Amino acid sequence: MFLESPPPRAEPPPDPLPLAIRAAALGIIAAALLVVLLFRLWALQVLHAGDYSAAAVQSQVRTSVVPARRGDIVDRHGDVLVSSRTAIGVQVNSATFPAGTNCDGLNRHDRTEVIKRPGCLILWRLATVIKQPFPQVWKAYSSRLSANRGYPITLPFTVTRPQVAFMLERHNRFPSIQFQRTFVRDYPALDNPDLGAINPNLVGHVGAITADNLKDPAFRGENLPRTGTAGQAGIEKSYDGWLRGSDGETAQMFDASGEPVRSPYLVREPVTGSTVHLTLDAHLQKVAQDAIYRGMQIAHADQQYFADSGAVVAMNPRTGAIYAMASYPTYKPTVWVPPYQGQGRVTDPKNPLYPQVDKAYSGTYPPGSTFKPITAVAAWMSGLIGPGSTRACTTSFQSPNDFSHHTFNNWGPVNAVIGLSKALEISCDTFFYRLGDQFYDRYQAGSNVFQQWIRKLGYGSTPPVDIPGAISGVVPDQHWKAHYPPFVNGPNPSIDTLWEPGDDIQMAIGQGYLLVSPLQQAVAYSALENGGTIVTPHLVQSITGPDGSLAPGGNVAPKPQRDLHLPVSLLDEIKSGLYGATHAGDGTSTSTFGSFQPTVYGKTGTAEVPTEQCPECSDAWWAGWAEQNGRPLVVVAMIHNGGHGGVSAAPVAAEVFASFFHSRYQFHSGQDQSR
Amino acid sequence: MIRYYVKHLDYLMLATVLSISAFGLWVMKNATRNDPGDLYGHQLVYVSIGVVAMLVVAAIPPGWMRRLHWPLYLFVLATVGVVLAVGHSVNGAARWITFAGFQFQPSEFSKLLLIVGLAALLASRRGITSPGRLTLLSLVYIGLPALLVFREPDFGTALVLAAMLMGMLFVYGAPWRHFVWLILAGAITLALIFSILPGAGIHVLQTYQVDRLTAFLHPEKLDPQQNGYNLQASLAAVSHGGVGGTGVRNATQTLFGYLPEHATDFVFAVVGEERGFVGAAWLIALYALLLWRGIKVITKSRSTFGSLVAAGVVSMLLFQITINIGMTIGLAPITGIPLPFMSFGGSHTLTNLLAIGVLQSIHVHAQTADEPRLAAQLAPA
Repeated sequence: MFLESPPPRAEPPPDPLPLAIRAAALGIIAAALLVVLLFRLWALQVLHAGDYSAAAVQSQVRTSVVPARRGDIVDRHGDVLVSSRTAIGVQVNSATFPAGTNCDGLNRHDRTEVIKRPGCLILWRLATVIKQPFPQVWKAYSSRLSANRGYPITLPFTVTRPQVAFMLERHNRFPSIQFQRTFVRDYPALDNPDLGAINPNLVGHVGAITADNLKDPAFRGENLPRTGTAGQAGIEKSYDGWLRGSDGETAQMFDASGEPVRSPYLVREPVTGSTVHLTLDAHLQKVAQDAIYRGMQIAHADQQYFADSGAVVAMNPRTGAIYAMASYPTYKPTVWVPPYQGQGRVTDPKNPLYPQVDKAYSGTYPPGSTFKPITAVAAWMSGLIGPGSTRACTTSFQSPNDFSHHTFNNWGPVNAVIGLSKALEISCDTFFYRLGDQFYDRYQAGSNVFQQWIRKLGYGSTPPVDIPGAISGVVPDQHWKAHYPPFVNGPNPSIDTLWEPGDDIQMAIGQGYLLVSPLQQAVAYSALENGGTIVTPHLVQSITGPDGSLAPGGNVAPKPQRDLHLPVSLLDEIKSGLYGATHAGDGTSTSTFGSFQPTVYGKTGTAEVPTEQCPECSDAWWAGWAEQNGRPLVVVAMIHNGGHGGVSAAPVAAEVFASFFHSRYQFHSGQDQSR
Repeated sequence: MIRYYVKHLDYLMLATVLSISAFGLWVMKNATRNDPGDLYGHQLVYVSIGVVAMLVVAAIPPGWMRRLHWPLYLFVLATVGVVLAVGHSVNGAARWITFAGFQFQPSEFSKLLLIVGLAALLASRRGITSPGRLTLLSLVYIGLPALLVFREPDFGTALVLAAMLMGMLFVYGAPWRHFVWLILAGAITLALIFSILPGAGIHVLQTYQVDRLTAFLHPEKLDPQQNGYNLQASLAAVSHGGVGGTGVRNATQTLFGYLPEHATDFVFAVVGEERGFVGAAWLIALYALLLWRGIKVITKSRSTFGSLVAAGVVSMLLFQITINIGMTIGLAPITGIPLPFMSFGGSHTLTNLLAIGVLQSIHVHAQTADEPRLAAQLAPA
């Protein structure tokens, strides 16, 4: 039995002292090793707690954006023009989407090829479900990929609930496709026949944030997120910081295999954007929009078949608050909202009418006779004329300064010596030719006083209106002419680039190289009405927070630009001239305004714009103002190629005046918070 | 006899081992709540069997073990050899054999058996063989099974055996110059394995092993997809714990599968994350207590055999604890050495508890003048 005790053996017991020392040494080694571990743990967990784990823990949590509701845009009466509605957005998670997918050149019918490319197959299925052309879905994804690689890419399509349910039930056939509750712009006023003419250029539109947006100084200081949407034009762009609100954020934890664990939690609440209150009167806007169309119909009836576009600006001449600013042709702002119906027509670069170019502030035209009061101001302020001054109104005029002896004809046969107001009343060209010729004398004496006064009245520079896209037009002078490329590069640069008597003479009646926008006209006529104050035209009067109270800094109505302190005698003379133009027997728009109440002061313009197709074409203008019960209104109407201003433009202005002063839509001037 | 046994058990050691084991089970239960399978249930069974076995072994006089050391040595060589031939492979290493429906890891048991064997060898040769030859003999005695284990490949256990050998020779009183030679030989071997032989085209270790073993030396080059991932995840978990720990619910590294092998090799990182520095230091303190009790047994035993067995067990535990914890906090190579009484696994749990049982046995029987007399006393009972 081997479990029996072994035979006793003479074994000396271990030497107790060395053994104790050796055991102690083992203990010291053990203690030293454990202390090293403790020090390392101290460093990891106490001194640098979280250093190693920060990235690791972060990678477990994926955040997603909760879009904020964008603020509304309302008109001066509080009628909602632009609002937001919820929609379901489609996103492609580019982190999990098959990398290197390229579906260029594939279309809906290339099934055999699509099936070979997993990424294309996903998008192809998506396109089929949401009823969009497959190439468009691919283009939408690929064009957004470069800016947002690694982020979920929001496609510019919205989907319906049944479509979402269909895809979620088959989510293994739609990998990387995810959905997000989002907001899209809504235009409730469009359905209202009294208000339904939203100028899409003014309100602008919202679109996905682009790489250009991130560099755009217009968004500076806004801290644009990398994904999401931003205003891309108009009010939406210039007031984007107010409207956007701030997106919220949810977070959800995912385990190592990528499956979500626990339910998502809200990290940050989304904050609804502020409400922007426009100076616009939606009803007046609708009237103005329709009036342009009728003005064009009148022009067509007057055999001006080239009349194809036009603009109206209606503005408070004391404050610069724009009540209506319409442009034709126009389009519905819904072209910018999924499913983007009709957008192709609007953005088509071959469309000759460029509906995206707003004729009221982004289009410039020669002002024709509507410029004569401006010439009068410049002449009066330069000392060329004064109270009681007269000039001969003849059938034609030849300038003694002009060595080519060009004959400048009046528009009609007259022969009289008249004062300024009569010259405005009958729109005598030769009266103003003589002033232009005198300005040429001043030019020869080294003074650009004509151009200086034109510029003081707001021409030749971009009006400081609170939307992007306004342009400056042209106030020509010798410097401009010397550098104008067609002249510099033309056949006779040495002659063509010289400033000549004809240039001043033509500019005196709003022709020649002078180009102005209807908005600039409205600002200048406001100065004639208000005594010389150059107002700041603006579209937004105030901004309120989501609770309806004025937002901090939300009183945005601007101060006027400057005051020219025009003498009363000059203004009276012009006013009586414009009164004559609308009331006297030989006035140019008496037929329209002769019996209009309240009294309208205004000037027609018929600016020659000959082209090869239409050598006889003229832009029809009307500019002027009226006032009733302390409610002044300046209106500028322009029909491009509309022929005589008194025929096609004056009735447009008359409709705006009629609506403003007579409409059942009562105007609340008390709401006008601007000075 | 029972009364004698009950009277002479080292209760502080027993309490420490039971505390660590219970702590280990608690950590296991929390850490594996999202894992498939019932690791906790299995570990509970292993620990229960192990504790019973430990108490039984504590009653066996050391002399019996001493007498059996040659059969046990052959048993070790046989089982480790069988593993090499028909072993069951996990993660590229063939360390397991299946017997009677259970999977065993013979290399784990071999550690304890070789401690007993080497102690018996050294004790019996004391004063007979010259110190130099005895050291060489020990080296061969341990080296043969170590080489087999190394071929499995189980580099970690081979290292444990080497540490054991050093610890026992140290306590035995081998001359200092022997350690110089041993360390030199070890260094040359490591240099051969890691640098010289691969340079000559001979790959002793698999490439994955070399990468894993050396990963801790250059953490800045860690490839998160590859070998560095374990270490990064472990460091993140430990660091996430901070001072007080995250608790169970917020231990996201552990709970959501970011920390690999959180029930086995990296269980200490779980402690670090869930219980923080406080918990980790507490566990280390428990280990220190246990090692202290083991060292007490070295000095308390009145036989060379007993002291040497205790020295072997202490060396084995110390090395395993140090290397395992060191590996989870980036101080030691990732070798797959489990943390005693904490990591999931039947073989090593059983082995370590049996080792404590052997320590207890020596403690119980240390008070007697010598083992033979004790055996004789026991025989009639």
